[in-house]
Amino acid sequence: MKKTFKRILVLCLTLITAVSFVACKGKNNDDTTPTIEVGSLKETYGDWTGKSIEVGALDKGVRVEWLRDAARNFNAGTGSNITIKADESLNENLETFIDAKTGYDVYFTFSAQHQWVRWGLQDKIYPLDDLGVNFKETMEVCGVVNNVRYTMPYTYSPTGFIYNQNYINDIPSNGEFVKGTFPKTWQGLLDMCDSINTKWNKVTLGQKVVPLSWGGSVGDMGYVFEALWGQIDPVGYKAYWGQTTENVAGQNNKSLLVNENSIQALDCVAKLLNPTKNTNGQYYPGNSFSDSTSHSNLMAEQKFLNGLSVFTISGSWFETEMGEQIEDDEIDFYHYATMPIVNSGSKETIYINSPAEYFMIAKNGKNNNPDLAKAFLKYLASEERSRVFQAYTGVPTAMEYRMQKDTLSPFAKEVAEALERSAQVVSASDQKASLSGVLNLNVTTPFIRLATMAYSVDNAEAQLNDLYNTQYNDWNDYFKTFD
Amino acid sequence: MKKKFSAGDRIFRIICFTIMMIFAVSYIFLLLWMVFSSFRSVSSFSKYPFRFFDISFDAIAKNYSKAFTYKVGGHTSMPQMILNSLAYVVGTVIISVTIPAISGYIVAKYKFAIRGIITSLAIITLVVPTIGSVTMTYRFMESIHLLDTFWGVFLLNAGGFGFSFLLFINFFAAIPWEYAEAAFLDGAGDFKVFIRIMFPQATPIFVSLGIMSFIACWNDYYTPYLYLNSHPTVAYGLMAIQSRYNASMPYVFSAMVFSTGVVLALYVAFSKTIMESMSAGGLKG
Amino acid sequence: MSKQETKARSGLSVKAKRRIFVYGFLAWPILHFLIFWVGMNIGTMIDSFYIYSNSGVRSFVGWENYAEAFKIILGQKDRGIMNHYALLNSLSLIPLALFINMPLTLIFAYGIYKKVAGHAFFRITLFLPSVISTVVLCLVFRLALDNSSGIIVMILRAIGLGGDGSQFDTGIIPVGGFLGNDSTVWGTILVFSVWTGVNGNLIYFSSAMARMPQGIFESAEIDGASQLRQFVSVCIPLIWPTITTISVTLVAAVFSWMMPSLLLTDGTSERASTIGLMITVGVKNDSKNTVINAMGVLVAVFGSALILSFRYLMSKITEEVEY
Repeated sequence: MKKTFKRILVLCLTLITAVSFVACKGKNNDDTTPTIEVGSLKETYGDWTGKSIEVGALDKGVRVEWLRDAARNFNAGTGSNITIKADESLNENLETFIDAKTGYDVYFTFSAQHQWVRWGLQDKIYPLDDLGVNFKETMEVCGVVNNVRYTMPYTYSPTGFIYNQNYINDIPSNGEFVKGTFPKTWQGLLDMCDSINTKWNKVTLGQKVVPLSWGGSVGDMGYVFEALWGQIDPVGYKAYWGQTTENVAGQNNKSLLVNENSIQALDCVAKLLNPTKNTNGQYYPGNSFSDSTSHSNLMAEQKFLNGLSVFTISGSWFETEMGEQIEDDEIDFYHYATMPIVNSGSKETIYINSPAEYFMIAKNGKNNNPDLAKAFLKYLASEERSRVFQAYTGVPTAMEYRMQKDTLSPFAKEVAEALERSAQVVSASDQKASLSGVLNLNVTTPFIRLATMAYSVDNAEAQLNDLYNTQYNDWNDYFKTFD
Repeated sequence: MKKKFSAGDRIFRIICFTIMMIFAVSYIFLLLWMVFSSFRSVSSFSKYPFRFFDISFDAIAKNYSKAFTYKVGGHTSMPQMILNSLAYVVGTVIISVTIPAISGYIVAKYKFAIRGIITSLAIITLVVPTIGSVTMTYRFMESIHLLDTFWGVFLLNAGGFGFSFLLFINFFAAIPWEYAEAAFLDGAGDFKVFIRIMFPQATPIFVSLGIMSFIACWNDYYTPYLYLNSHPTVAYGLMAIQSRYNASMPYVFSAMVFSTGVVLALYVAFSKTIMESMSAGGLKG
Repeated sequence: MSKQETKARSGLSVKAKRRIFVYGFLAWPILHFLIFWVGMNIGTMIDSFYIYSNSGVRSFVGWENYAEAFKIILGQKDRGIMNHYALLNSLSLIPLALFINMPLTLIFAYGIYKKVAGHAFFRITLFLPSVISTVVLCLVFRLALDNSSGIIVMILRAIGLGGDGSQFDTGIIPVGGFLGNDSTVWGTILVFSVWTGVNGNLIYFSSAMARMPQGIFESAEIDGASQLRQFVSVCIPLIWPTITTISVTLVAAVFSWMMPSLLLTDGTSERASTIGLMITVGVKNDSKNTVINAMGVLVAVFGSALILSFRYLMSKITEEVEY
């Protein structure tokens, strides 16, 4: 009996090995016809017949279909052989790829800020000043160190609330919240949460629906805070990010982070978190799940799609990121909203998720064709490709171009229209203070603390003071990283 | 005739049985849950993760075809990952068992000047935690252009001193030298004696060490994570698939069912051999 | 170990051939050791006295990296997963491995040896965690603890310990969930470690027990010793060398332990950091982070002192029994 079993096992393993060999010669994902007319690409971008490059693209967020489409067109129009490799672990393995000769020629990824700075200063990636790209004003500073551009920022991802219109149509009006319309004011938002908790009492999948699902273990609340701060005090917000080393040396920069405007913004967040005492005497975020502080962004988005929350924190990438579930369940109740207004008279403001995905060209790439790589990047930065990118992903690019709203999905159109009427804030500058990473705010700890302690009007200021003290202690370390 | 146990023994045996049963049941539950979850749709699983018989044939086809066609890193599908794992495992096992066998044999059977030092050094390599040298090793591999290659990983595992080395010393020391002396009288050299007489006698320990190394290497995530990103193995690939399909777990489970099934089948088929070999291998500390 | 001497047939040539054989085959292991053990560790030590700037320029900083490492270890400078919990967590794995995991494994091996009911079934099923990838085990454990739909949480609710299913009343489940709450995350990971780690060495102990002389057990039984008594007074002393070896490897392994911390919390929980996690993730982010080198040297020095002392202690507990 055992012998027969062993024989069957050997047969199965042989079969699997054989299937493996056959399956390995799988279909090449890049082999399909171009989606739009290729026209005279050779005239504009050159004749690249017989030249190859490999592009490693992070397979998260905006995914890679738009990039495959671009490569197909470019290949058809110029004779090049550009292949796209979708790598889900790319940003974790960048250090290995840049150091070893097994990496790609071009990378589309996001990484910890200091990594590309290091690679640029160590001459491991090519300068990109000669691309001649027309960036949006706020993106012009991204990817530059010592006045040299090393990366081409590509995505321009507006963050915001994603809400369930079916639920909004059902929740009873309360205070400034009017049934059927997502609130436009911060008080209206708080009133809506109150109505959900006390008047509405909707149950689904055996649980009471909560107002908000959010990723406490990632940067979700950070988007809200920065959007509100930028809305309340756009000048002050920009001043914080534009700090120079002189500010720091004088140690007189505390008021750039801790001031009445940033305190007000963080206090708004604390009110949204609504810390509530549970039966054990512990505080939990009363407008969301008791374990929201440990959720990832995907978990939060999934709970929203399952109908367990009325709104969630995400951005323009939501539709692409959760595409599989949206398609499987044929979900169409989700809509986009910018941050509600705190002080009347403020302009609607959107925080742009930054640093975001960018392109860079490695010097140790397999094919060593930097000129082809640059030509391809120039093509991707064109107005036409920006429109195609937005049509695929719903996310605008970092380039200056006119959006073509009729090619967008309804959700993406909402985002595009919101962008047209809003001011935008970006957390970056080309100053060393920003590039060193020391200005980056901790996007988890302050919010987890605010969600799990009794509310007090002084809490926000205490958290900001804490952030400043950590920054102040780490400042010298960060500056040692520059010569 | 059934053995009669005293009351005390019976209680002891019942307690043993109960604790073991709790653990065993939890492991079987885990396996079954993983298999059944791979038969479910993404939507259904995200709402009710701990249902069992919510099977959909459409979902089975979708999940398993996804598991087979998804390319980790954009270039490596599940079948290719299995081949990578086999290459990594077979190469590592052969090298990491053969080289210590030779050095263990020499230290066990021959007297030479630095013998004592070598044995002490081998124990030192086991005793001193060298996790901190990973940065240096990483940069060294990069400098000799073997970072992110199979040969690099084999090189890392090609040491002759370590746990296996000490096992082989014990083992060969216990083999009588008379066999060798007879061969020497017939004109055989040291190398021939090793290959023809001593090496074959170590077969049980080769088999047992080989099987244990196979299983350890198959599940090794750490080495591919650091040194083999371009050639993902199953252990590393599962992690990558999980990070990509975090919101669509049934796809991940189908990949896991496949990879776990292979190792499980091997283990079930060879469990008796493993046990017998380990006993014969003389794993005395 | 026995000494080997063979009568030389033709004096020098046999000796010379033997020398070539011995040193020839030891050359590679020695070279490998010199490069990958001595070289790498000395390189690590030397580099720990320097820092690298963003542009790759190396500067001598003396003991500064060690001062940084100490600040982190002593809790004066926690930064993300580089924090003082890492050392405490790693050290806490030692008593867990020695006083919970190993005794449980020994009892399981003994139970199988003494053929308790279902021993053949246990011999296969109890070894499953060693065969199944850690990724699978971590994923299942995490999902099982999910507040909304996890099986463990459902069981807790069914027995009245998990609250009423609302966010307001969660029973013994802390805010953030077991894996998301700072005060319970490490304890939960330790539970995971027991659940999956008990059986890794089952096979070593089983095979050591299989070689024990039956006669001693038979005499003990005739003398009226219970099976429990036989376990403590006969079995354990007989396999003490195996126990010593395994426990030394367990203690040594705590310094590189990191996978569950990474996989169960996505590396986002600072309280779940370990030395292995700090160092490995540090390398992936920046291979020229020399504070990690300093940390590694400290781990090597204090870690080996700990392991050597432990080994000495184990050898003093009971004399080796020859059979």
